[in-house]
Amino acid sequence: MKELLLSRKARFVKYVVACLMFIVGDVLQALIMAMIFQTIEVGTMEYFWITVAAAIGYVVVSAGFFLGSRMMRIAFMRDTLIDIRVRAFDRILNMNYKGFNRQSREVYVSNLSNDINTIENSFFLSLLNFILTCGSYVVMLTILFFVDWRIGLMVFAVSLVVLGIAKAFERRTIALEKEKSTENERFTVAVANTFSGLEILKLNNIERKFLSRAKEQVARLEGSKRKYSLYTAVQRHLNEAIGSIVMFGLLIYLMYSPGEPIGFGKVVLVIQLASSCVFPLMRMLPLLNVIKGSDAIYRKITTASPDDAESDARVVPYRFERDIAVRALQFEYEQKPVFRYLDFRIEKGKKYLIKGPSGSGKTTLLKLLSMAYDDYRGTIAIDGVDLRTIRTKAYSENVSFIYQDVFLFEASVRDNIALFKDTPAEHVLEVAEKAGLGDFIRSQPHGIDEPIAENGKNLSGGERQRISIARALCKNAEILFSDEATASLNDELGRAVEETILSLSATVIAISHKYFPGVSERYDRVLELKDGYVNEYSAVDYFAEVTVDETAN
Amino acid sequence: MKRRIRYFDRFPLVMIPIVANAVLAFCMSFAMKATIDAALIQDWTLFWDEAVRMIVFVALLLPVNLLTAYAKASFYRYVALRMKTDYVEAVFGKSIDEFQKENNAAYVSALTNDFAIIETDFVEQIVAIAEGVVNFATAIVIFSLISPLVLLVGAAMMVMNALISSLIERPVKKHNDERSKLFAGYNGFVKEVLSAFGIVKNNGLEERVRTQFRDKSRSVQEKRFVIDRLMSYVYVGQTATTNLVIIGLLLMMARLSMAGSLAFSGVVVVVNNIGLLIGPIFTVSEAFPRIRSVKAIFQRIDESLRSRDRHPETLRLTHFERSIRFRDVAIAYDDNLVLKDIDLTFEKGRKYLVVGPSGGGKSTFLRLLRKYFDPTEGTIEIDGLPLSDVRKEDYYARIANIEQTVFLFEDTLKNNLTLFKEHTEAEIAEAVAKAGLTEFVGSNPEGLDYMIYDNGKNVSGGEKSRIAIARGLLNHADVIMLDEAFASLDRDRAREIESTLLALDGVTVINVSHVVIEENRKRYDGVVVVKNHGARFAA
Repeated sequence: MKELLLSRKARFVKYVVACLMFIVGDVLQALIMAMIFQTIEVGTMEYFWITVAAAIGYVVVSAGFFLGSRMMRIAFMRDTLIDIRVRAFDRILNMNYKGFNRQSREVYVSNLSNDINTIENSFFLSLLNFILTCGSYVVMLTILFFVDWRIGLMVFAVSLVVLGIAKAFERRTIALEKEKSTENERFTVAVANTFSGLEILKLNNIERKFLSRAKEQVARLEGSKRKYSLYTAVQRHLNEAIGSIVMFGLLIYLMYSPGEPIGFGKVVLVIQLASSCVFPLMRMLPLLNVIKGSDAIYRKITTASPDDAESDARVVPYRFERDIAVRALQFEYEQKPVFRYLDFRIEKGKKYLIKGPSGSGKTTLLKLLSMAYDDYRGTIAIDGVDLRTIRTKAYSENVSFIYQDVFLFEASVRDNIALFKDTPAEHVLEVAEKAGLGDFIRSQPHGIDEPIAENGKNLSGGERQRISIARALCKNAEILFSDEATASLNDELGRAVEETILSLSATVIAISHKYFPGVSERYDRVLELKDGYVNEYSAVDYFAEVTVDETAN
Repeated sequence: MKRRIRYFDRFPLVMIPIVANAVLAFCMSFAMKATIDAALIQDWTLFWDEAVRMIVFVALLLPVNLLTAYAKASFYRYVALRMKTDYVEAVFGKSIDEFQKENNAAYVSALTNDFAIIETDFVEQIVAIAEGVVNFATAIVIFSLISPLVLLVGAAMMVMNALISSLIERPVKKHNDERSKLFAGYNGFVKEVLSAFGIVKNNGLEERVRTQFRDKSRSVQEKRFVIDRLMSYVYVGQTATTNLVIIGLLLMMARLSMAGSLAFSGVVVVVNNIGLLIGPIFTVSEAFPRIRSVKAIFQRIDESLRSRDRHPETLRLTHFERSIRFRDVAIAYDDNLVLKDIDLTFEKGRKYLVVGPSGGGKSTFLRLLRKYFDPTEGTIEIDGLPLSDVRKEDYYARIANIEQTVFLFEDTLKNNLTLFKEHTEAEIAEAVAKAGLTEFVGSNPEGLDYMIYDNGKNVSGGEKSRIAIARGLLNHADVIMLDEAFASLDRDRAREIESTLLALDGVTVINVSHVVIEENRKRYDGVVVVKNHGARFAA
């Protein structure tokens, strides 16, 4: 985080100065206190009134410094926090598909909310106090040395002891804080999962069991929070105890002056200075730990892991005129073989249907062809150029998808179809019609400008699917990947959509388990995946072997 | 969450070490006074006696403080545990329909964010107030024993602080509420983007999304900045006032000491214990607004837990013998009529197919069948008994559900199949075979003990469907309801499994599906067509 803070050097210096402003107030306070006690010793009214004047001056000056310091600090805090949020977000955004899927979505949400909240609430306060403590220590100790060098030396020695003890506690504190953050993440994920399955649990009358599980998870989280707070509390109290004993010892030492009158002013001044050195120092290492802890959290949420980033070996521009050639493709997922040997060609402009039993890797093949994973053996080449070297962005611009899971933005129907591009409304309406959304749009009071609520909660499965299809049609890319586009549609609509897809000029690679007589035969080739290998057929041949199974309603 | 006071049953235990602490502070102060007095009259024997006493008290502070820390930590843990557990139980206790009225995220957010705030701004603040009160009382006792005049000034301070706090409370609360709303918007946006990661990346929407995020972050931080700025004036006012009063107090005491009416040692003790007087005032004045601000959170939690008055379910159902009958059933959502005039009978042991255009009401029909809610008009009868009067648990025990999106939890394949109910190896093997899962089970060395992770990340779509089907078969239920269960399966598989289901003797099958396999269609006893706000058997 150092680098982040120093990125606005001038403002950071201003911030540090703002923190140090309090020292002036503290020193003045020590002096005023000494003066007040001195007044008792001196005993004259004249001295008393001088003290009063000085005291009022102190109050005003210190208030001014307080306000000024705060104003200077909070602006810095705000700007730094915005930076942190953006960086954390960028880290996630810059991940490639595989890296992103390595962790559950809830973890990322936790990173962007819980973790940053932790930084917001504890880091800055700790930083302020840390800077202040260090500065104050130096200044107060120096003054103390001038007043009585022996006591100065003793206080210095005590502060070393205190620091030593704090250092001993350090490692475990950081470990506990990290554990707390991890437990938090785990808890959020577990709880979200359980709630998402509650319907099923209730339908099967097994919610009791999961209720106990959930309770256990709560207990575990609370336990880890307590460990941390208790450990830090012990540390704090131990330090305070040492400090108190030292101060009271000092008091006794200063008062024990047989034969001489006690100089009140000096005693009070020394005590003030000494306590300003010893007590704040105890907080220094815990503060430093909080700062380090926040730094660790910061690094966790903003540092991209190298495997997750888009590889920068991708420099070749995209060009697709001839074919996509898959040669000797081998792929494993989590140590299980998916493809043993795939070898086929996809010609530009043709339509390919991917078939195969469940688990044969149809979706995986689509993912490999769309650059989601690149740790396969063999090659996938577009016009002879290895897919792994082509620029991701260039490729993405020329590819559309129809997924099984449709995600809808909280925006208008139009924006959901055009994906926020400035596509003319007529084009959007046209593709919506082709996707079978005509009736739906006409039934909405605002037509295509009708807003869609959170992830399309109030839309049926079929309607969502049709929006996904409309999206792909709207983008009109050269390559269309489709994964069970017609799964949620009835036969009549499914058939119409399949016809639309087959009439596009794009190169289509589709997964579909449905058969529409007269339409499905219009695919150019069928690629059937089985046991990690592929068999290629012409669509006509493939469907001729197969009995007619499905009818329209 | 309504009767919050019952969470504080262990509160007295926390107070014990706090009170002990205060007593110790008291003893320490007067030992110090005696020490100083002795030093001033140069009675060094007395001085050492009192000094030793003083040091002993100081040393005792450590164990007492540790005890306090431990008591507090335990207490917070206890309260948090109970509150969260009660919440989870309440959510689990909701009927499915009521549960689905709120977004999942709302429940998760309550358990994570809201309870965290309740802990810091409610529970901890209440303890802080109690501690403050105790310390303040101690300070008053000490001060009144040294100089009652000092007390008066302390009271004046308290009044002043209370006034300042109450003045700024409302605008701060307003700002905090707006900030929470902003945070909710921020969180919602974050979740949305993360769900759409694939789409964002494939359509070059990164810049747009990045800009939107930056804007949202900015608003959130700006809001906090405005609050902080406002609070600065409050804090400075408080600090300046406090300083002024303390300095004034000290000057007054110096004056009294100069005049001989107050011992020097008294002044020292007062100075040493000023913190005990001032601290609680600040703590308490900060605590009350925080506690008040939590009220909104409690309200929101209570809202989300509220369930409509449920129809009393008193009837038990141990077997299903004859039929499920819809009599003039109609269902409407918020003034929208979804289905009406439904008159159908499903007979035991028969097989039914339910078809219809998407968006035509099939899911609603299924939800009625599953007793997620009761019809707005008419009745559904099971074996002549009104379904709305039948206990949910009993009805659910008679039904097996096979759904399209399968819920898998982090456990073995076996447990995901049996759902923790007792089944013999043979029963499991049979269900596995009928659902077409044998190959999958065989492909893993651990077989049925294969661990499934995080909602089935390591299982393909088709396998998930087959697990759902195996689950349904294992249940040996009287009625099997399928909800687009075949959508993720290829034709061969779907046909096989459908055949198996259609061959089950004595089991009623209700299959809501788009996938109609012609060769199996004639084996159904009836086809229900749900469309145009109605549901009737096809001819």
